[in-house]
Amino acid sequence: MGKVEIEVTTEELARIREHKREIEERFRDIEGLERTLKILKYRILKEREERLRKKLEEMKAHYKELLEFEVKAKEDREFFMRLRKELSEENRKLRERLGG
Amino acid sequence: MKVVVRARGSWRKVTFKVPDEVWERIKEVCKKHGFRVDEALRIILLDGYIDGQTPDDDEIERIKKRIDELEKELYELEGKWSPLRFKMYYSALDNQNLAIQLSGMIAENKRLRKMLGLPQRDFSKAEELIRYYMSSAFGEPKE
Repeated sequence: MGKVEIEVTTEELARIREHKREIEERFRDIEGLERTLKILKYRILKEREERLRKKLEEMKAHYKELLEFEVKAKEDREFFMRLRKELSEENRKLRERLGG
Repeated sequence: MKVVVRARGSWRKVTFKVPDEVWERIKEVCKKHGFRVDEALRIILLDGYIDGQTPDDDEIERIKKRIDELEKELYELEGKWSPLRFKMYYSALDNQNLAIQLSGMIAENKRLRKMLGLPQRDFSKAEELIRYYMSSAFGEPKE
């Protein structure tokens, strides 16, 4: 007969000892095990779906912000460049007036 | 199959004798639903079985398909998002440099106008933008 070992905590072992009969019944109830695994699998998949959906929503929101910023940064740059040119000229003239 | 349950760091143990055909069925069921045998053993030994409506296979397949779609969409979006994020980081830095230059030029303009007794110009829009680009939000790529 083959042997498989599993380690648990002392508290868990005490619980297992206490419920030995129920556990033996569960070993025989393969349908119950299959139902449980199926339900767990479903829950795990649902959680994964939800996590991905949430991550995608966040990512879309970030991406939208970036696209908006792309437009704003371009407009602001143009504004800054215009103002820099204008002030460079104006300040030069003002310095001349002050010097003269 | 003998299932020996040991307490960690202790000599205490409990043994269950599981008929080989039952053990084989356990392994099959685990494989079918993507669980490891030790995970199933913990359910049998500790967690117990869950009662309730068993989800049908179609529903599970539908969720798996949806997960694949979401992963694909996320992957595609990440491919567009990452380069744009870095491009915008450098755009913000460029604008920050311009803001620093303009800040000096505006200060000079105000000083010259004051010395010449000229009315001050309205730089409110420029000053607002300068504050925006000089803020710490652009010290590093936005998360």
